Amino acid sequence: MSADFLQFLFSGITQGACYALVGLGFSIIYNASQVINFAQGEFVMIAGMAAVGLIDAGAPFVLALAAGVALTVVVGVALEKFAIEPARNASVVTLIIITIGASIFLRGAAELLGGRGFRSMPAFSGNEPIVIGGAALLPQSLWVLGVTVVIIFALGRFFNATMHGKAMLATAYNPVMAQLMGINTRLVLSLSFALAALLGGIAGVLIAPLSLTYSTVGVMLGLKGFCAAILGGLGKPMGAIAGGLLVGVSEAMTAGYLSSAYKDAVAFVIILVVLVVLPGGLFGGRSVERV
Amino acid sequence: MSSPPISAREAAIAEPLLEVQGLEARYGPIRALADVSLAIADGGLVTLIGGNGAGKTTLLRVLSGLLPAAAGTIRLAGQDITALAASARVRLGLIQVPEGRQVLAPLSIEDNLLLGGYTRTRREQAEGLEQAYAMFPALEQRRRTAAGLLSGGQQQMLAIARALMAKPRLLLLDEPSMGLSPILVDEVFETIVRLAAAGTTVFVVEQNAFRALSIAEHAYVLEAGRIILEGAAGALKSDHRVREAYLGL
Ligand SMILES: Nc1ncnc2c1ncn2[C@@H]1O[C@H](COP(=O)(O)OP(=O)(O)OP(=O)(O)O)[C@@H](O)[C@H]1O
Ligand SMILES: [Mg+2]
Repeated sequence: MSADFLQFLFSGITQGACYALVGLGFSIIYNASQVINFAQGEFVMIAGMAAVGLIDAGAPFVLALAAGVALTVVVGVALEKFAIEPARNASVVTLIIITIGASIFLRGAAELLGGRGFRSMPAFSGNEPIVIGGAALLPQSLWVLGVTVVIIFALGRFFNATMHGKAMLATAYNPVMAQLMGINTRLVLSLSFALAALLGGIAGVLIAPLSLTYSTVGVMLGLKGFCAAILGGLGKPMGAIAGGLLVGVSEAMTAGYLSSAYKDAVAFVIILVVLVVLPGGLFGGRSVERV
Repeated sequence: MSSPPISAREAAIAEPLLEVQGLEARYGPIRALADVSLAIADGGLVTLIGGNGAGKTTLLRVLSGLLPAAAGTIRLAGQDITALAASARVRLGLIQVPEGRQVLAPLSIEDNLLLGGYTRTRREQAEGLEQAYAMFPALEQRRRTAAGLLSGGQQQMLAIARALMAKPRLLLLDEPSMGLSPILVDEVFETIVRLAAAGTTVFVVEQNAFRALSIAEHAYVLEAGRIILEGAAGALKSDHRVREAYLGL
């Protein structure tokens, strides 16, 4: 394997892990409500901006990261409570438009509070690259991958081994039956926004040292996370993870072997191809089996 | 809290477990139920029969809180539950086995059962599982199987077992015989009789009038959203109107 290829692969997988976390957020909210939350990318932005702001203001590093993620969860729950919940009888399309509005609002708020500038966050454990097969792997990439793997296992346990997780699955498969089993499906919706914001927020603080953070950083990340989710089949968590990695790696290879000018186009080409040729995503079938 | 005076307590005992008065339901401009009143005594086995589109499912949807009542009241053990959310009614023991069974196909049998006991404590869930498996051994053998792979009859058993996990005070069943072979229908109705004998109050809504009238004590006939007849199930079985319209005699 050439060192170049390995280098592109490392950067693709790192970026892809972030897309996977964002894509998971899309799938979780979609499962609870059929809504595509276009403010998902803003969750990433909020966590990064808040953490950087706090670090610059002198807060301890770990505390700043935790506060950035916590604030994102609060914003996620508030978004559901004050923007989605009051309109819950509206059509899904209306709700999606509300999330687009919310994303614009959040970007504006971030600009007001955090300024327009690009800011950088120090890496969690330095910038000394680890050389593998002639390619350089940044310690921050290991953080991104390690935390993503832990999150995937934790989510798997949450959905398969806890009553709250099973209640969320039940709501996704059959919301009416979920109600007849005593599940408060409104609470599930709120929980799904909290979980999606948590994933976005974690992605936000993980990626901030690698990319800069600024008020519109979530736009592209959100779109690519969306691309990951539909590539894997909207509503399928494992699909979103695979989709995220695929998008990340294809992007890195395109940028490396063709030109970085085409990097962002990859995601859009994938979205178009999936929508036209594979509406069910790579893993076929309908997104959620309904009885 | 001080105990209520004896007379009030006696009144509560005499009171039906479920009391519905003047219930109306709408789908937009369409009125699907009009002025439906019924009472189900504690411990009773009551049926409501009606043809296609009579409003049976609609009635159960309103009772369970899936569809709001446009008018009228629903009382469970004396408490007005007309405005309660569906999940709150489940917590009060009003449990429905919906039309078409609605098992969660991708989840295992055991997960379906556990979710049936969602409102119960861990301890109660464990006890419930044990009882469910004792009652339906076929489910235990396949506890890790996806529920969607079960046959129709087994899915109906799973749907009933799942409802029992919630410890129903009042069990509502929507056409449990639908789509089952005669032998399986026998099995399902035997199960219902056993549950009622064990003390669960049961309200079963059916198109299969003959079977339903054969097991129930009291019965109602629903036509175009209205209750047109009510009485002892045995008496209705020999009523000429019921015989002509529902028993094909
Ligand atoms: N979601 C809905 N929107 C509009 N009308 C509906 C809806 N659901 C049911 N209806 C109408 O309400 C009436 C009662 O329907 P319901 O499903 O309660 O009947 P049913 O007695 O359960 O029939 P079946 O034996 O076929 O299950 C029917 O005329 C039906 O067309
Ligand atoms: Mg029906």
